[in-house]
Amino acid sequence: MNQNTVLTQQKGAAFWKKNRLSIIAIAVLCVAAAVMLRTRYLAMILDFICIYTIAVTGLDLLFGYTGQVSFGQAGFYAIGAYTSALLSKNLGVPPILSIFIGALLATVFGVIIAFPASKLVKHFLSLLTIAFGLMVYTFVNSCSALTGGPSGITGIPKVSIFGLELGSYQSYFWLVAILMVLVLITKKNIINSRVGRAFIAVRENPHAAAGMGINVAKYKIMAFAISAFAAGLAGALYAHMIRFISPDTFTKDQSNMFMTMLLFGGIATMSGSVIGAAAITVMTELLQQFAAYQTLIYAVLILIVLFLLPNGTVGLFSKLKAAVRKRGQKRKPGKEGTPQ
Amino acid sequence: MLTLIIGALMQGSVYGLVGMGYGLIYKASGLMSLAQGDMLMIGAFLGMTFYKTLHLPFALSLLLVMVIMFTVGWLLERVLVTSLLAKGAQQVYVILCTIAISMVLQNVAMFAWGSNTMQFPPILNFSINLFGTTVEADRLLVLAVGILFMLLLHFFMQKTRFGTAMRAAAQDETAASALGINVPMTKGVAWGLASMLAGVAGVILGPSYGVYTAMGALIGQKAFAGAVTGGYGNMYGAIVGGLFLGFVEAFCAFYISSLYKDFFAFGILIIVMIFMPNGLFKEQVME
Amino acid sequence: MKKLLAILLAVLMVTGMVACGASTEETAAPQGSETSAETSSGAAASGEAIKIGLYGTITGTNALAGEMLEKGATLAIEEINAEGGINGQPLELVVYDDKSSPEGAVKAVTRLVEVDQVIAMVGSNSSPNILAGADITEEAGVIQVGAGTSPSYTNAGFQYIFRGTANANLPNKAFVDAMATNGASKIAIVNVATEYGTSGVASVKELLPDSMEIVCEEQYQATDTDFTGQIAKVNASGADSVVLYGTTADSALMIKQLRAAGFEGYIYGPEGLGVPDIINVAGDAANGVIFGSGAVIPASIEDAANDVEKAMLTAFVEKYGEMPVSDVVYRGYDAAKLIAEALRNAKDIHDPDSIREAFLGITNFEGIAGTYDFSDGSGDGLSTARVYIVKDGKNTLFEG
Repeated sequence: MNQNTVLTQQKGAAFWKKNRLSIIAIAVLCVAAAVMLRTRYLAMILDFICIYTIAVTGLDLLFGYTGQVSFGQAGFYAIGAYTSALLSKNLGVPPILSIFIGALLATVFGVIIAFPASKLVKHFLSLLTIAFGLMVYTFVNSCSALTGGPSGITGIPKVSIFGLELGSYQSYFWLVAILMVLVLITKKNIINSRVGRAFIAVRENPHAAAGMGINVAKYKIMAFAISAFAAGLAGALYAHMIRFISPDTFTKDQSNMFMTMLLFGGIATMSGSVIGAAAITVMTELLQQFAAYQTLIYAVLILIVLFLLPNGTVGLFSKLKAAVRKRGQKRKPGKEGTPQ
Repeated sequence: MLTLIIGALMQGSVYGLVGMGYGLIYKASGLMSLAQGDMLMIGAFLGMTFYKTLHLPFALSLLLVMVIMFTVGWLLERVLVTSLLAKGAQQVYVILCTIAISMVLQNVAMFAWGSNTMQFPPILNFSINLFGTTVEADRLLVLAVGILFMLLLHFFMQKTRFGTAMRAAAQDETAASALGINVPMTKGVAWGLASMLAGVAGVILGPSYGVYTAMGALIGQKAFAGAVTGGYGNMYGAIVGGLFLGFVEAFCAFYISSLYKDFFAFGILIIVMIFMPNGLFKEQVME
Repeated sequence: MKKLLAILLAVLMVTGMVACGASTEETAAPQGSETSAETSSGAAASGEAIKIGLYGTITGTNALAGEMLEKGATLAIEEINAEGGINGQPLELVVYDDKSSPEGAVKAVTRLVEVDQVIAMVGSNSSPNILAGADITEEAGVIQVGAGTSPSYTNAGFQYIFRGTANANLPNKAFVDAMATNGASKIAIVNVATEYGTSGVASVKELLPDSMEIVCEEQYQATDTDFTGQIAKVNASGADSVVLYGTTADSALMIKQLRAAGFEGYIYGPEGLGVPDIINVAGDAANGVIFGSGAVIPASIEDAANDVEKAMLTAFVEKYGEMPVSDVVYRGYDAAKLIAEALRNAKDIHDPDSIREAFLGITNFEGIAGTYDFSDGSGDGLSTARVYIVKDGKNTLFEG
C-alpha cells in the first residue's frame, strides 16, 4: 500500500517532469479561455479560430501530408453550410444532426471531385479545385429557389444539445472547441497510422509509393474526402454560429484564406493549422484600427513573416525548441545526463 | 453572331496573353504566380498615367509600360522569389508569397490612383463596319496586339539566342548551366516577360473596360484556367486554351444561361481535362 | 510534439488576449483623455464622448463606397460636435471594416457592441451585411441606421434598425414612372448577380405596369468584364428599353458595350447609375441613361438639389479637397445626422427604447436625400425619390 503510493508519487513526479510544460500550458490555456469567454467579442473570436482550425486541419491532411493542392476548400465549406442551414431551417432536422449531414454531403462531393483529381497533377489539380470552388459559388449565388441566391438564408436555427440551447458565442465555444479537439486527435491518429504514412509516401514520391504497393489513387481520394469533411463541418458550424449565410462568404478569397492560414502556420505539423488559424484571425482583428490600410499591412506582414520564417511560424518554434534543448543540455549534463 | 465571335476572340486573346505568362513562369522555374491578374491591373494604371495624364503618344506609353512591367516581374523573381527559395522555403510558399504580392499590388494601386473606376481614353476612336456589324476599333486592337505579341514571343523564343537559352534552361537546368547558360537570368527574364505580357494586356484592355483595382482578379484566374486547359507550360497551348475559354464563355452566356456562365464554362473545362488528359496541347496532366 | 503543441497554443492564446485587451484599452483611451479635457476646461460635467459605430466595405472591391460612407459620417459628426454635440457631449466615431462579407460584418458589429459599447451605429452600405449583424444589435438594443438600399432589412420586424437612405423601391418606382412617360413597351432587364441586383430587379418587376412586356432577362457576375453574350441576347430580343441594375464599374462597362453593340434606346436604373464614374468611364455612351435616386453627386456644388446638400458638399470639398465620387457619402452623412437627432430628443441616451422612441418621433427631418419621417415604424424614412437623365454628359433632373 505504502509502496504503491510511493510508486504513484514517483510516477507522478516523472510524469510532471516529462510533461510539465504541457501541463503549465494547458493550465494557462484554460485560464485564458475562461477569461476570454467572459466577453462575447473574444468568445466569438475563439469560436472563429476553432472553426477555421477545423477547416485548415483538413486542408493540411490533403495538402500538407498528401501533397494535393486545393484552392477550392470554400466550395466544401459552402456545401456544409448550406446543407445544414437548409435541412435545419426548412425540414426541421435538429441542427446537431444536420451539421454532420452537411459535412457528409461535403465528403460526398469531395469523393466525386477526387476521382478526376486523383489522376491530375500540379497545376491541373489547382485548376480543378479552383473550378470546383467557383462552380459552387456560382451555383449558390444563382440558384435562388434553393439557396436564396445572393440574399442568402436568414434565421438559421440555433444548435441545441439535449435541450440545452447554444445560442450565445460563449456556449457555442464548447461545441466548436470539442469538435476541434476531436478533429485534431483524429488527425494525429491518422498521421500515426498506416494511412498517414501512405499519405506521406504519396506526397514524397507517388511513383515510388505505387511501386511499394500503395494504392495511390485510393489514398488521394481518402485525403480529399477527409479534407472535404473537415471543411464541410467547419462550414456547417459557421452557419449555425452566425445564423445567416450568403454567397459572399464562400468566394475564392475564403479558399485563399484557408491556404494562407495553413502556410502561415506551417504545413504537415500538428500545431501549424491551429497557429495559422489563430494568428491570421487575431491579426485581421488587430489590423482593424488601420482602416483602409489594413489589407496592405496584412499582406506586408505575411511577406515579412515569410522571409523571416520561410517555412511558416512552426519553423520558428522548432528552431526555438532546438535552441532551448541546446541550452538545457549545456546546463544539465552535471546533474542528470539522461539523453532524451 | 459575329459580335459574339469578336467578343470571344477579344476576351480569348486577353486570356491568351496573360496565360502565356503563367506558362513562361512555369517552364522556366516550375513555379506558379497568383499575381498575374494584378500585374495586368498595374499595367493598365501605368498605361493610363502615361497616356492620359502625361499625354505621351500611345506607342511610347505602351513601351514604357512594357519596360516597367518587365522590371517589376524581373525584380519580383530576382529579389523575392529567389531569396525566399534560398532561405530554404518549400516551393509552395512561393504561392503564399504571390498571394501577398497580389494584395500589396492591389492596395498600392488603390492608394496611388484611388479606388474608383477611371476612364482610359480611346486609342483608336472610331468604329469599323464588319459584315454589317459595327465593331469598335479598340476591340479589334486588343485582338491585333494580342496576336502580335504572341508572334513576337514566338520569334523571341525560337529565333534568338536568348530564347534558345531559355528553352534549354527550362528543359534541363544542370545541362544548360554546364553549357554556360546563365540559368538564374533566364528565370528572371521569364518572370519579367510574364508580367510584361500581363501589363500589355492591361493597357490594351483599358479603353474597353475602364481601369480599376479589381479589374485583374478574375481575368488572372480565367487566364490561368485557359493556360492549364491548353496545356500548361506550352505557350501555344495557353493561346489556344485562352481562346477556347473565351468562346465557351461567350457562347454559354448566349445559348445556355448568362447567370450560370461560369458554372458551365468551368464545368466544360473540367470535362475537357478529364477527357483530354494532355490538355489541348500536349503536356502531362495525369500520371 | 504534444508538448510543443500545448506551448504554442498557450503562447497564442496569451498573445491573442493581450492583443484584444490592448485594442480595448486603445479604444478606451481617447474617451478618457477627452473626459479630462472637458472637465479641466470647466465645461458641462457630462462631457464624456458618446460613441457611435460605423461599419462598411472599407477595403476590397467596394472600398470606394465604404470610404465615402466613412467620410460622410465623419463630416456629419464633426458638424454635430462643432454645434455642441449631444447636449454638451461630443460624438466619437468608431469605424470598422466589414471586409464586404457577412462574417466580417458580424465581427465588426460584435466588436462595436461589446468592446466599444456604442449606443448606435451607421450600418454597412452592403445590405446582406446588415442582415448578418441584425441579430446582434437587436439583442443588445443598439440602434442601427443602415446605408444599404435593399428592401430586405426594413419592414422585417426589426425593432432597432432604420435606414438612412432611400429604400430601393422608391428610386425603382421613380424610374418605372419615367419609363411609362417615355412609352417603353418591350423591356430587357439586365442585373448583376448580387443581393443588390436581384432584390432590386424583384422590386422593379412588381412595379412594372401591364403595358410593359419583359422580353429578355439577363444576369452577370459582379467581376465580369465582358458582356458580349448578354448584350447579343438583349439586342436579339428587340427590346426598346433596358433596365440595368448593377454597381459602378460593371454598369459603366455594360452601358458602354450596349451602346457599342448598337443599342440606342433609354437605359433605366437605380441610383447606382448616378455615380460620376459612370459618366467618366462610359463617356458619350451614358447619354440617355435615366435613373431614380434619392440624391446624386451633382457636376458642381451650385447644382445641388437642396440647401442641406449644398452645405454638405461645400464642407466636403473644404475638408477633402475634391467632390465626393458616390452618393454613398450622403447615406453616411444622413445616417449620422439622424442618429444625432434621435439622441438629442431621447429622454435617456443609455436606454435603447428611449432612443428608438425618439427615432420614431422623427417626422420632418431635412436630410440630403429628402425629408425623413420614421413615424410609421417600418424603419424607412423617405417616401419619394427623384429621377435624373444623363444629357450631354451631365446628370439633369428628368421632366416628363
